[in-house]
Amino acid sequence: MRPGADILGAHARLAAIDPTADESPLAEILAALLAGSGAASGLAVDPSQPLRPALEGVSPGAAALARLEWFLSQAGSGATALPGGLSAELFAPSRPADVRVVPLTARDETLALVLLEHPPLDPVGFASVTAHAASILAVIRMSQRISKADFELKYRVWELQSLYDVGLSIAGTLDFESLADDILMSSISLLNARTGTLIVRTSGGLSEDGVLVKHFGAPLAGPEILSSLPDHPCRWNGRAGRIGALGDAPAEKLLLAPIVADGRSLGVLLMADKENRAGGIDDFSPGDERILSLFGNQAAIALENARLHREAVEKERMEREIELAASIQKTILPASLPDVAGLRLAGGNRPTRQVGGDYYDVFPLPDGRTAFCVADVAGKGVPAALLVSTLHACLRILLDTGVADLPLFVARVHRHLLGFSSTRKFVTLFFAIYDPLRQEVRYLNAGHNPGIRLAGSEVTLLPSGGPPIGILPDCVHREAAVPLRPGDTLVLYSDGITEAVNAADEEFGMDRLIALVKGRRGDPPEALSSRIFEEVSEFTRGVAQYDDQTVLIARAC
Amino acid sequence: MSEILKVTVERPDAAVAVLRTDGYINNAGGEEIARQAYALMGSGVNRLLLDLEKTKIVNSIGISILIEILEKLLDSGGRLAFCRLTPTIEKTFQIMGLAQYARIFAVPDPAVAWLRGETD
Repeated sequence: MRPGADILGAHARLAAIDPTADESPLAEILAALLAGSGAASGLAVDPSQPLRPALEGVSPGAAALARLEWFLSQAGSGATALPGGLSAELFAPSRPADVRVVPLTARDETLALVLLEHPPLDPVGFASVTAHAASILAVIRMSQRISKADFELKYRVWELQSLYDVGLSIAGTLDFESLADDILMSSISLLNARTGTLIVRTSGGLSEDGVLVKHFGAPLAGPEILSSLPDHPCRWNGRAGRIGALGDAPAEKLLLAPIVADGRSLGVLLMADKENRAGGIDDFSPGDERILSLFGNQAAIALENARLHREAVEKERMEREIELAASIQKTILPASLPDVAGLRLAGGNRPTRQVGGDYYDVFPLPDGRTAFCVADVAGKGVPAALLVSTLHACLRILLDTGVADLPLFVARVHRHLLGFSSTRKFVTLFFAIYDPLRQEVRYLNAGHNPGIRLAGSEVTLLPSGGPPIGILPDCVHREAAVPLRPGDTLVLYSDGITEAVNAADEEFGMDRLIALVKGRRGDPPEALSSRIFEEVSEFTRGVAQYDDQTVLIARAC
Repeated sequence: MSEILKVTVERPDAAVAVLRTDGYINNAGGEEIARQAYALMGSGVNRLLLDLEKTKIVNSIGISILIEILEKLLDSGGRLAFCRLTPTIEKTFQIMGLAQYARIFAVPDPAVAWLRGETD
């Protein structure tokens, strides 16, 4: 029996639909249209979800639904009719002859297609029902779009907030490892990636081998990728064309952003498999590429900041050490040389920026003799300055007990330094004692530059009589003696004088020093000392020197 | 933390359930939470606490699933609370609107009390 068309009933059914409900109203709309048309069977389909039609009195097979899906995918949102064969197939097995396809449209968009087993009995009344149904679907579609747009807008805010937060973190912390975690997680999160990897060169400090590697999920690459990085972002929405290091990456689709600072490639951010709500994987888009590049830039800034900070900290540490070492050295070196019987003394020390371990001193002895020395501690900075301080204290204390035997005296100093110098630093030492009665200098040269004795125009070098002190447990030092008569001069110095280099990388050298000393032998010791420093300065003009320069001159009178 | 999410359910009482997550709240992770949440709702439990202490990352698909769960809970007169969120995730929930209809707590106890209706 054919039911009659119930136009009012159809409108009442449509009016009962809640457009804000989550569930699709397709079944209610079909029921209303069947009532309004007088048909007993039919189906309604949303073109965007053709495999989930609403059915009443029909049960199309999977093959018919597959054909419907294919047709709608080809026709797009403007579909308003179905091929006759397909319409009949959807009603199988009855295959009515006059299936009526009713498009529910709004603004040229087909929101649903309703198939009725026959044309409506009251076409005019039915038209009002279809208009009512279309308006409900339009409201629902608009509501869905607003909801989607709202989500998209919030997502963009989230995206901007994430970039802003990473920027703030960069400004607020120098802990690159923690920033690397933030950058990797934010990238994965915003790009809906399933896994991700970050690999950067760290130039020391963050990891032993200078490469920091962070993975979330299965590793996409190892540090070897750093040797073959592209200099621009890349998308591989398939396996073809990938760079070699990503050939076996466990991912269907990959997105890569290099991390570049000042034109130098520092590392890479890799994202894998952008997931969608249906459980599948979408292609990475140019927009995704831009987002990942922004995070790559953030990583580059963070790395650069961390490097600059490390350099600043190191520079500050070195400057503090230099100041401290200079302060120690200043308190140890004699402010002025004492007046002693039979000798006229002059000397000085010119510290370099790195502050080495030069030392000189003069010790008037109770028996009328005068001890004096020049020493050079291996190394620079505070450790060297502390060893100089130890040597100074040691000499002071041991000299109070007398110096009957010079090798024995130096051996005691040597043993003391051996116990102190855990860092295996050593000291070259020229230690001399002038006896005014004998007009003689006894000296012991432990690995130091040869002293220069000038008698008239005759130059005698006073060579080393043993190794430096403070390093070899068992060593023997020989002493020697030379006359130092009135007018004779003894010049002691450190290697900062003879090894001072000029712009041509030539050393000042022994020959220049001896020639200078001979040529200026008539100068008072103070003038000779100043002249040596001046000549060395002139020789090395414009070239930074890295070793202290020390001169001590003793002239018998 | 793994990219595979695990969910464990604890029932402090008959009306409230605590879902503890460990891992990435993405599509698969969100679906697992939804599966557990809908099972609880099906058995009449519509006051849920999501304890995200061991979740450090969430994506937009995971968030959209959480929003669906929230909407269903609200439709059934239920409540949803979150606790132990990382600052990043909490900020994300604020931006994405989850915090508008669900409550966020620092620790579980006050969240459970709110779900029971013991506090405002």
